[in-house]
Formats: sequence, C-alpha cells, structure tokens
Amino acid sequence: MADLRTIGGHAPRTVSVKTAAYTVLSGDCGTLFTTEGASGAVTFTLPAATVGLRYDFLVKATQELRVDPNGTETIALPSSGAQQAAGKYLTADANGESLSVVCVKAGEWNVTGYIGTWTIES
Amino acid sequence: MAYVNTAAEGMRNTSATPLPADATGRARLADGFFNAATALLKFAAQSIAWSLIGLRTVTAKTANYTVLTTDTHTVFTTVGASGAVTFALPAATVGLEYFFRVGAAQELRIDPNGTETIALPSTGVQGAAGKYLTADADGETVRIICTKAGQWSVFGSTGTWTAEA
Repeated sequence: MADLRTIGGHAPRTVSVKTAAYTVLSGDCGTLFTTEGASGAVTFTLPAATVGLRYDFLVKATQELRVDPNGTETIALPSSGAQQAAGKYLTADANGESLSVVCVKAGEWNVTGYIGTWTIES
Repeated sequence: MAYVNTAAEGMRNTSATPLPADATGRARLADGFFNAATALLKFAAQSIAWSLIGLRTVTAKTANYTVLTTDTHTVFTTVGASGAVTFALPAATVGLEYFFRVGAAQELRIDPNGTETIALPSTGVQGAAGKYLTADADGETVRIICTKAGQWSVFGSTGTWTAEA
C-alpha cells in the first residue's frame, strides 16, 4: 500500500512553525523549524547533543530566532565553525536567514550550512 | 505439484509432468501474484535500506530538466554539460528539498514555477517573482527547501549564486 506521507518513496521534510519558545525534542530529529508569524524572539532549546541528531532553522519574521544548546553544551559559530562558550545561543533576526546543525560529537553542535549573519549570545 | 521460489521469477512449477490446462491457468495466475509480491517486497526492502543508509540520489543532467516532486532530496549536477542547463522546479510545496551542484563551467539555472520565488543565497531574501538562480563555476552548490507554499528557502550554498536579471 502506498504511503501517502512519502513522495516517490521519500518522506518530504517535516516543517514546523513556532512563534513561541520551544524545547526541541530528540524525536524532532530532521525537522525544519521556522518562525513565521512570530511577534517576538523565539528560542529553540536543543536537546542534549547526541551524535546523529540534526535540525534546520529558518528565520521567517524580523524577530530573533535563537538556537540554544542544552545546559553547558556548545554550538559552533557558522562563520568560523569554532565551538563557542558553554551554554551560549546562536541568534539571527533577518527574514530568510537559515541554519543547519548536526551533532557529530556528544555535547557539541556543528553547523553544516547557513545563510545570513548568525551571532553568538554576548 | 512442485514449486520452487526463484529470485528472478518467483514461484515456478518444477515437476516434469505438465499441469492440466485449468491447473496451468491457476498456476500462471499464482505465478503472477508471486512475481508481483516479490517485486513489491524487493522495492520495499530497497527503499527501507536506502532510507536507513541515508544515501541520496545523484542525477546528472546535461539538458534542461523539469524537476518532479518525486525527485525530492535528489542532488542534481550538470557534469558533462556543454551549455546552460535549466532546472524548472515543481510548484513549491512544503517539505520538498533539492540539492544542486554545478558540474561544468556552464550556467546551472534553478527556475521557480511560474511566479513563485526563490531566495538569494547571499542574503536569504526572496527574489522577484519567477526569477531563476544561476551559477556557472564547477563545484558551486546550493540546497533549497520549501517551507512555505510558493517559496523556496536556501539552507546552505557555496560559490556565487545570482538572480536572473
């Protein structure tokens, strides 16, 4: 029986719109989050960085989209790839900016692609 | 009545004695069902295996191509192209995703459907209605995903992509 959730045997990407802070689940792995319609900053709190987890983020409003690692875990700065200070989030606020992160080492998030200007929490 | 299951043809009669006419008909019908079932199982197994392994389909095009929704997640290249190659996208439907890699020193154009739009990789800002993206240096790449009907967003690129003038 054909699976109507697939296209040509491939599952289309899951796209999830959030306009308020959201705690990302490991079960959301592979999801693309956007902030269309947000009227304020939206923080995505990542789950514990476990090898293989990956997420995409797209700023879809002229509001901050923050990607916050779990506890004291770290996330790389897209422009350099260097892991940042413990617990600091990445942020961008221009419509169309995007970020793709993947965990390849427990406790760390690496960036595999980005558009626009992403900065680290000061 | 003896049957053996072969990988190529499914269940076959292997007895030396030919089957009666009506039995042969039923056997052929059974063969058909078994063959169809075998093919379906093979397809399902292959799909599951590819899904688990995470392999992407890579397709080289040297002439214009109308991209299909069923091509989602495909990596298109222009390896071997001797002229510009235009990829005409399907209607932008949430969840569709494509990758493109310039594979020759020729233009690779990504053309949204009708008056739909595609973001400029350098800024992420949606371009003008119906305008294509283009790059022409071997190795340049772009990944696009539809997150809103009618629009393509960019999730990573290398090289210089510009919008149709």
